[in-house]
Amino acid sequence: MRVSTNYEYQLYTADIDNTTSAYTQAQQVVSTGKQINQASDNPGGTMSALTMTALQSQISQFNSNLSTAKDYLSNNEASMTSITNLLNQAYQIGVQGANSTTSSAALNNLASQISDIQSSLVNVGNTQNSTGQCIFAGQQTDTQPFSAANGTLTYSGDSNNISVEVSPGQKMTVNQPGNPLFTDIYNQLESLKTDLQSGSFSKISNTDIANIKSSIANVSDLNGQFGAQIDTVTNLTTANTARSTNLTASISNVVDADMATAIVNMTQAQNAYQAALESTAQASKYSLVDFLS
Amino acid sequence: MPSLSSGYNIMNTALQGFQTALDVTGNNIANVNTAGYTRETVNFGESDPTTFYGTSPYQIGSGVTIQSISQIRSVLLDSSMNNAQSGLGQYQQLANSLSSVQGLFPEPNSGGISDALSGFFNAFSSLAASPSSASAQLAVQQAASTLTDRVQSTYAGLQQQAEQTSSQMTSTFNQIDQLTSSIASLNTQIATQTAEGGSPNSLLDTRAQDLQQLSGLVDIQTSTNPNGSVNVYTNGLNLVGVNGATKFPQTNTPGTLTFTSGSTSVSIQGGALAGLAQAASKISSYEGQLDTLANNLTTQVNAVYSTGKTAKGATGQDFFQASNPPGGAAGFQLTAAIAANSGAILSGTSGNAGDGAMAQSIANLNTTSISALGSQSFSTYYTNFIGGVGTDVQNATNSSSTQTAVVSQIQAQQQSISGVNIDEEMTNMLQYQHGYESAAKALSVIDTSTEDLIQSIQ
Repeated sequence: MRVSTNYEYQLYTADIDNTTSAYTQAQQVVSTGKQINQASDNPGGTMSALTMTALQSQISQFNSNLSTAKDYLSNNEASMTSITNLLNQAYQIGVQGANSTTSSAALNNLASQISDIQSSLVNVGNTQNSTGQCIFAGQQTDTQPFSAANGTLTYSGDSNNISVEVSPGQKMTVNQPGNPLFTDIYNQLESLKTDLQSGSFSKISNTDIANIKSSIANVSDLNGQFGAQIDTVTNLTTANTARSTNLTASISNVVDADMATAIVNMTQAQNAYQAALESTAQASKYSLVDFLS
Repeated sequence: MPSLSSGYNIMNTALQGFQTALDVTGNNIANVNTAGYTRETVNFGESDPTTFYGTSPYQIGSGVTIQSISQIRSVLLDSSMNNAQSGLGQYQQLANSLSSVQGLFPEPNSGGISDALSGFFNAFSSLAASPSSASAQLAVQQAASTLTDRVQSTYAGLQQQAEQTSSQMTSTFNQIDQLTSSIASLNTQIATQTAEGGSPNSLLDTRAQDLQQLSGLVDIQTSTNPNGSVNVYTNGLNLVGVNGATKFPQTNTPGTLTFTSGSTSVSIQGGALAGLAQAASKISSYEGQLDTLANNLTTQVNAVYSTGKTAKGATGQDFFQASNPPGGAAGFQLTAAIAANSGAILSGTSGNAGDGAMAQSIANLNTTSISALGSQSFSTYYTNFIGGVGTDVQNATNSSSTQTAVVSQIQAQQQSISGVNIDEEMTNMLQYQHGYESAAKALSVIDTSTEDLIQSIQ
């Protein structure tokens, strides 16, 4: 084919342009580490990356909810442990008071210890979590649920549950309404206190101590239940983290470049670019003009 | 019997002829880098012979004449080139316009509407887990305003692109009108020179260049008249005719490649103008999809949010600013009450501080399929939208590369026929130079012979 001089140079320019563009693209893949830098690089890949990113974001939200749930449950568990300790103290006091040889002064002393235990119980009942919500108030989380006056405990919370979505469609109840749990125990302690003050030994040993024992068992059950829920939360968190890690890997497979391949591609593109430059420098060396005198 | 002077005359025509040929060769060399230049050659012809009457009549040639200086051009390739330029102009323009539109969407990287949607629904999920918590309320307010800001600014970006496309269209109309009037005036000059028997090569080159440039803007068809002028049509509309140029109709019917002006209407098929019209229609469809997203977010979220109850028992509040007709992406914003005070954000349906039921229902909208979005969830709808934008850019870019290859293929053929090759011109120059030298030598021989004759007479 006849080649015009101008076209010869146009071809050189086109070759250099094309190889430069290929080299720049290969370089961008290496420097960003991504094979999809914009949607048009791979529309299908972009869509699956977006879908997976949205899913991953949802999973990380579940983990955030799980940590909120764990905060509630840990506070519940710690509160149950405190109540168990208080009840154990009350039990010891009851056992001492059931002894008919105890002096009335000593009985009064014991009764005042029970009174202290009651105040501690009210404090536990008004526990707030890390975000300042009253955890034993049902859904009335913004008000202190318990106040005691003249031996009567008033509950201003409600019996509603607070539930947190911990996985798609799965909700976990994370609160324990303080009534009747706290009010029952408070009343048992109140009865023990009154019986100590009046020296009703048989009532202490037959009724009060037995009631406190049953409450200890009851609180211990609740404690176990919260512990089990915390285990569930931990397991779900671990599973979500694993799922999120898998998704990160999958997203990376779609979006990120395989570095070894990317570098090989870049080297190839670089060689092609170099070859285009060298051939341009070589090819235009000769012309008939050089041989005319 | 030939006269003594006829030898001088013959050699004179030879010297003049070779001189002209050297000039044409020189002109070819001079224009080796001129865009659109078509190489020229000298067509020599024998001059009319003189008849002499001896014992029988005989003829002796009277030298050489230059019959024409012609261009080496393929009209067929010119027309293929024009077609290819229309395709290239169209897809290059579309790819350029859509690529800059794509720049408005950072996906698959972070920082786009896609992230903002996830963030918005996640914030409500957090609020559901910690109802009435001030920090969760603040997080909802922030995530929601990030979402509205991103939707609004993306939409504003699309509007800018639409305006830019429209102003590019206006300047394209002007370019088309300039080119057609230039072609019309070239037509007149070419017709005049052709009628005088000349070959207006440089005018033909300029007109071919103009036609090629015009093809890049809008697809054209041409026909050549016997007087050398060309008629230019685009899809049945006469742009340049015997009476000169007609202005291109400047009103684009949105979503089509149809342009009208009064009762004149034309549907074009190629060129940068077609690319611009296609880009405009894509941009308007993207705007429509963002509007749909924003309007549905407003109605769906508000429908759930209005079930939220304040501590005083009031319901029926809006979260996003509702308006009639719907405000679309441009009017997508929080209500003034929520924008002013994150503490006013409700979370439950009972008014209890610890009730997160309503917030949970909004969080659940994330995965709910919405019938107005073609039974897709918000995030799926947006993901498909981004996929659509990417596919549009990819298709336009691929078509543009294909057309570039077609154009360079035709250019190779065109250059092969019409382009100047320096080595070839140098060879021609040697040939004409030797011719000139020989003619000069012959003249000197004739001169010497004549002088000898004159000497002998003295």
